[in-house]
Amino acid sequence: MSQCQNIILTVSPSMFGGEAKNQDRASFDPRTQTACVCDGITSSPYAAKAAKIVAKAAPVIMDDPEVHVQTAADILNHHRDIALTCPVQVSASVPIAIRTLVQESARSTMKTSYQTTMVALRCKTEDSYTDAAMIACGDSGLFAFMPNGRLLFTNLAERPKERECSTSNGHKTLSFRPGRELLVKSKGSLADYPVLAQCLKILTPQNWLLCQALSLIEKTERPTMRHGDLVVDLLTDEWIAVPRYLFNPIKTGCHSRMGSVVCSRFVRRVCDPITDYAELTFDLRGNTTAALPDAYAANQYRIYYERFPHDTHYLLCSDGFYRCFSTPIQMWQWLMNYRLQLTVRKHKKMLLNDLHRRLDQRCGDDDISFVWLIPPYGKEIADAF
Amino acid sequence: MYEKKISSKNPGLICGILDDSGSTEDKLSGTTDSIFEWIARYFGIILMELLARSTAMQGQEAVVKPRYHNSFVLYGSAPKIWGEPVMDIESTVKRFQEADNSLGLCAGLGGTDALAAFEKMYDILKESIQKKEFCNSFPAMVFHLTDGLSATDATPAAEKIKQLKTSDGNVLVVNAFIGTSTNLEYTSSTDFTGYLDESEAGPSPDNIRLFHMSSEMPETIFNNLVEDGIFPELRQGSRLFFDVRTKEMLKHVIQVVGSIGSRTERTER
Repeated sequence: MSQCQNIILTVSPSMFGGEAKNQDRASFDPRTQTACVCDGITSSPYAAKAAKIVAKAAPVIMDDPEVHVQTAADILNHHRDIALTCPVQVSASVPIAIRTLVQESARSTMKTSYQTTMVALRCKTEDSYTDAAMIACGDSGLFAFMPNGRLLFTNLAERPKERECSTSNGHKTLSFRPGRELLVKSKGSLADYPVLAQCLKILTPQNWLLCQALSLIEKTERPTMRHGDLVVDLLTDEWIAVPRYLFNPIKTGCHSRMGSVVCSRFVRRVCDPITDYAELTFDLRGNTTAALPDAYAANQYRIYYERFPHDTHYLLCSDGFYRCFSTPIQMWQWLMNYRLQLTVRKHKKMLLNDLHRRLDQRCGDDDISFVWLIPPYGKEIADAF
Repeated sequence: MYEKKISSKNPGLICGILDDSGSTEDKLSGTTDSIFEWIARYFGIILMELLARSTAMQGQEAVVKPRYHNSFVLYGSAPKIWGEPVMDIESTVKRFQEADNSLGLCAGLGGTDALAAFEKMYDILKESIQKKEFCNSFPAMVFHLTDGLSATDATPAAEKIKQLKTSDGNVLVVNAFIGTSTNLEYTSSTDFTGYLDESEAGPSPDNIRLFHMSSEMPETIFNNLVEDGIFPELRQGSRLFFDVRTKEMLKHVIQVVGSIGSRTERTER
């Protein structure tokens, strides 16, 4: 894979829906390594403009998502306020008897104008890992895949609530969250504990360490997490499984087994329930979605900070794309099968036509858009049909 | 199945079988207006909702897209089609407006022959559902609103309707029994769990009959009703059977039509 074929960006308006939509927008900013996909809401007037505004502003929003998501909502609300004050004309094709009703109806829909979903990601790549800041609002999808197709993360699957581990008297609770690191003592490779690895459904135990949680180390480089995501209460001396790339050894002696671990959803309590993305399907999802700007006030958006392996593939897409498939693995296989064709415009066009046809048969055609970041993340190949 | 989004190409077909027998002149419990007036009122609200969903801005002009179609059969001693057998939303609203915001309900159709009404709706659907515009759409939804006992058993015709299908699934039959009581304990739509079996729908044999006539709720509709907060405590596998004890419940039941195939921002309702 050459360095110039690592970002694949596509926006393809609905072809078979019987109505012109063209309300998806996608962007990738190479300077800040920020990708974004926005899907304007069909029932919302000026949704395409909303999607365009947010996709364009994504590099700024992701500078500080906790703060700037509000700015994005404010901008959309400002446009909505203007739309609400503008007179609404009714087409001459509407029967005179109901023109007033349609006018009232159109004016009423202005209250929900400028609505769009949003998924965005900013990644900062180091030698062995990538730090990703992500924001997700609505039913657009954010996926992180291993090169072998294993799904590491998606906003479309709610992580099960943390289960209480049995506690022992005298053990202190360690509230492990973004902004904190955990001081741990390594017991060695998880490969030396095959039964435990099997229980945790970890297929590559050689890449994991079994560690003992000791204490918290406060850090200030990351903003404090909001919206309650990823807070794990550990107990001192509790055993955890840690991917090797998250373990930073502390050089206190030639055979030190002490190290620090950044907060990550991949740190697994030995008694943790497992997020089984293998069971995730895209079928039978409801048809409602949260959307900016209203979702900001309703707190219906999520911000995630995560450290992924350096060779992680990221996919951001509208529901039109993932609804072409039944499962994430099917979607991944499609991407793998057509990776090269997706970099050639005429082939890509044919592939997209095929996807639109498939989507039309499944649940009705829709706009399809996605941004695929293939490691090492480099130059963008963009197409908008 | 039951995943098609509503569009001009694949419009939704919303049908009503509305009891207009003499007994609908009775007051709805806790109100001073008759049952038929409340039915017309809330159907009017839904029609406006469907109109709003069909209204789109083309440039600076509002247009009405034919995203929804409707069919209504009113019944008492005999069935009567309101308007044309199938009308697009623009025509339905026009007729509704011209009829002084009513469906023509007036408790004036005498006795209660539900079977004849379901047969009439079956005839309409059998013909229309095969048409190009509906054959790949989200399946038609038939709303039956009644306030009481029927002289005839509509079960055979309801079964025939439920066997009709589009490429996206079988036609759905919803039964709303106004003014009845069941074994299910709930206070409002917020703690309404839906009916899973006839023991909950009983004890009245009429409740049980309507329960069995009702389709099982598809998962997509279940998801939308829960996510929209219309029936947040609903259980999966519930039937599309509702006992309507209050006007609020009637409103929520009629809102079930809003849960099909649309894609809207969750907080707007």
